[in-house]
Amino acid sequence: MPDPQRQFDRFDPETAWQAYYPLGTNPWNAEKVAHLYRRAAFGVSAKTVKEGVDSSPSVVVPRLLRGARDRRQFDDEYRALREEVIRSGDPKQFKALWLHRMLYSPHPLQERMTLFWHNHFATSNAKVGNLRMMQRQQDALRKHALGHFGEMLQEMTRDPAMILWLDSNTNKKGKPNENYAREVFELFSLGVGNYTEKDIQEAARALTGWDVRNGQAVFNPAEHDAGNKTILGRTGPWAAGDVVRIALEQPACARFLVRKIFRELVSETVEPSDRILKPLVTEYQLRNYDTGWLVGRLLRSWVFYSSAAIGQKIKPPVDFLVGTVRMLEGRVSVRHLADVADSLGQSLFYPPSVNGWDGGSDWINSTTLLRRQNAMFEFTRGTGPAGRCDPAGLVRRNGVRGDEATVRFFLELFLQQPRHESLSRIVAHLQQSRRRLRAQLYTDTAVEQQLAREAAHLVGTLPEYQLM
Amino acid sequence: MIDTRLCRRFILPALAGVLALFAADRASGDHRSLLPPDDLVIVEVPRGSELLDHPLATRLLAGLEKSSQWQGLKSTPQFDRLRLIRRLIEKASGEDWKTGLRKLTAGGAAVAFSPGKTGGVTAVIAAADAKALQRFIAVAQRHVRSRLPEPQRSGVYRTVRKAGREYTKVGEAAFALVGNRLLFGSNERRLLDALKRLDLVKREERPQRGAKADRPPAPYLRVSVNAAGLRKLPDVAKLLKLPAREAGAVALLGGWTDLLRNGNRLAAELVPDGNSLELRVRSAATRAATTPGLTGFFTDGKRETIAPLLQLPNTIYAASWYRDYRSLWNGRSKLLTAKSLKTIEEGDETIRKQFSVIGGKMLPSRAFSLMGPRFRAVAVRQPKSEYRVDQPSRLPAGGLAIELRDESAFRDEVVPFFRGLSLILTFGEQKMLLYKSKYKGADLAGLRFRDDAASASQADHIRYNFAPTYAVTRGHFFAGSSATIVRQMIDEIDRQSRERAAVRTTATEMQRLSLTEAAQAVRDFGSTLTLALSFNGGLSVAESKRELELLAKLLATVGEITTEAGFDKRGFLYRVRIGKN
Repeated sequence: MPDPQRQFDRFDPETAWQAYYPLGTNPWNAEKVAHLYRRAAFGVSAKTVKEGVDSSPSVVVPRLLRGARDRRQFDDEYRALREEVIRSGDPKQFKALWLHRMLYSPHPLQERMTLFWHNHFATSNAKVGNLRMMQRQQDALRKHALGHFGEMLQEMTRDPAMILWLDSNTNKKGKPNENYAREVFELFSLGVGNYTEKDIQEAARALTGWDVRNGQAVFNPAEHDAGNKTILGRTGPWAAGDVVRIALEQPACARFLVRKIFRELVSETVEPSDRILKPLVTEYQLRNYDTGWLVGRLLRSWVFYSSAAIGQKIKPPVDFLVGTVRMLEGRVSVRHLADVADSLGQSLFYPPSVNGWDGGSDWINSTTLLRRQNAMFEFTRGTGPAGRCDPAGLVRRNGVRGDEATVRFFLELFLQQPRHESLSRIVAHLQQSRRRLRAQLYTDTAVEQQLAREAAHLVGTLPEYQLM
Repeated sequence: MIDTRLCRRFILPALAGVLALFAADRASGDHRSLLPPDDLVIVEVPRGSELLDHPLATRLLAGLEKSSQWQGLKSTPQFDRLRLIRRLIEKASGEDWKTGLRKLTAGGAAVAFSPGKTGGVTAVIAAADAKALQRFIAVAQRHVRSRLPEPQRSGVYRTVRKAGREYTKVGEAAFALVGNRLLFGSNERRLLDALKRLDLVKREERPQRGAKADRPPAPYLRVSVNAAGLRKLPDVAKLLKLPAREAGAVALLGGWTDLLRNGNRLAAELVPDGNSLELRVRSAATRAATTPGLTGFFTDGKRETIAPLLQLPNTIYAASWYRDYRSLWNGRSKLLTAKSLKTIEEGDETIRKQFSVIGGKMLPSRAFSLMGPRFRAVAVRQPKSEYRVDQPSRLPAGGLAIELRDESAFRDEVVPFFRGLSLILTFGEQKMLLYKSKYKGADLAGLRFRDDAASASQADHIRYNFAPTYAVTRGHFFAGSSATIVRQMIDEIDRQSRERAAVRTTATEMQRLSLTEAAQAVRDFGSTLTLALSFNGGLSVAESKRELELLAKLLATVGEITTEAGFDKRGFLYRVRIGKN
């Protein structure tokens, strides 16, 4: 297998981010379509892969960025569900609500990026303790997920959940609390090394005066320090909006964000140099932090469709779970899905700290790997909480017949490798199962159904399926 | 590899069960005489096919088939067993499965069962003619053989000839075809016993032509339980043992378990009655034989009666029952072990001491003694909320009305306990509010949840269906999950008093469940149920709404379920009527 870093280092900054176009030796194929949808939309059905192969990245990527045109019915239903969930006051239902949206939203890329920003502005309901506030924060993240980062950062600075989470409500004139000021530079905009302790102290003074009353952020001028402050070399009577504006003016901000989004969407195994990211950084800042542009550029680039990116991420639990359901074209108990995501280490709305989830190889250990295998079994057994996610139905709808064809179908669907080395082993297993099931007097229909489930389970538990 | 246990444990019993469901009227009495008379449970299904044709069953099944849950069941392994049987029947009969099955079971069916090492299953099914049965068995055997790996094919069915009889062994189980009858035993001994009994029956058989018209129509289903045998099972014996160790179980179920203690047979029948069905469960137990101390569970059928059901607006469920806790308390020394007796008597005193701190002077035993034996419960839809908070999902309200022997003493001794309890709850996590109001001369008191914006934003709004309320008035203690239901109960008691309403049966318990109102309650709670179905069941929002509407329609189809229980001349009878004529 080629070393992804070496592959990546071959790219030139001038061409790396240019739009990929198919070549004879580098065709637009199912592997690339599935890769695009895994990264941008949690996963994809066999039918969509086929449609994608018949199309081109220049058509598919803008469509993903735009989402489906008619979202009214989904939005109406979602709002009704959301209000019922908030009335229930049950955080588990709230997690399930988001998973429901990830699974069925007509704009999955927006959800994908909302999840990214949730991890970026990692706010936990464990401290906020108010679903309405968490919902409003999530709505804001969703609104700006593919919009301008500056607007999102401004809104987060005045977001009630964030104010409670990072103690901005205790940041008063004469008694500053530096929590939010520190994180706005370190985690939200600039990254470590691009500010000083003095900048944090001064920014904390500028951020004074905010509180939360009746679920709303309110500004109390009497508790705001209106004196001059010097932040990142700029002096003035700065307030919260100015802190954000000054941070956005720093070249480090675009560098920090581009690197983070690269790691999220492109690859977590390669380390990009500043030199190769420079064209993206420069233009991202010039375009006023237009995240939609940046995401579109990355998803169409040569780098994105190279071996430096394909399969170079470990699926986070939510991607693993939502992606599997989307691929199997089924429906599951999202409440159960939320429980499984918790057990795999990704409890939505409850990130472990202000740093969010570390991700990468931290997602997999001996316990979570076993739980992933168990989850895969649940998805493919045709009954229980994922009973409407039955691989047998998928096989039937796609007209697949025979053991080998069934295994190839799932190898193609899950891994885009119909000739994977495990093909013959899995086929042999199915043949053995067929004899066993027939001897147990199951009808031919039931035998075929059960074999489809076993094939899906075995393919879904291959190590490669943990990668995206 | 084929598992012969599969044949024994699944295929033939399942076949017997399904065939029994369709079994026709003829000769079910004959079948019973082929079964071990002392088996724990005997099931006869003399008119199973007619049950499926009953208007209520037809409507229910038609509705169920439309549900997505039912559709989901079709791909389960359990459903596949039914699919296999259906295919075998169609193949053997050359007709659609229902017709084929009716022919296969035209002569009736019965199954007997006993648990344990010495127990097992014996089943008899009689077809319209011997050929139909032979064809079916041949097809089934061919199918099983075709599924087996080559080396096992020959040994799966073994024909045995013993003492002039010929039968087939499948693993430990065995079956025989005798004329138009299929006899099945989960072991060889049970089959041979059935064959012996068949010989006796044949000798004694008399032509019954013309007799059928004089007999009442057979029930759809008849289940007979050998209560004497049941009492010998270790778990049941433990449950029935007196004096008992579990005071709670005696207080709640003592009278009911006593019915098992006193009769040697329990029988249940499902019979049609116009558009409704009636389930009758009868015990041979008599009131005279009731264990002393437990008579307080049942009216005497003369002077003692239960109170009429409460009929409030939008009533979903109403119950009225008799339970004399004073006599139960007075008879406690006969019912409980010395240790249990000591525990509850000490507990009685401890509770009095604990509540004396908050101004009460109540002994629980005294409170029960002040209560009369007539209890009523009711659940109603409550279309309107008593709170300011938006809560579109409306849960039914529940209420309890207990007649008092001494209203004044109850007010003096027990009500302070409720006041103290309410006070404690106001200091709880929810910081509930105490409230009082007057209604037609009665003092209503209770608790409410805070419904200001700050409290509501942090709470599960389902709580805004509840405002626990109580009142002591008109010789009753009323408690309800809302103030409205307590007021409605007071109105209803006034109405019954004006109209001198009374129950004219010897029943010791009556219940009425209005499924029409329950259907509306499902709709009232629709948004929460939609969410639950969608998030837990994996249905889309549109599907969830469809499923709920289907459920509501199914409930409305049945209309109502009523029950009545009490002693009559033949023993104790529990009647459940499903549907409305």
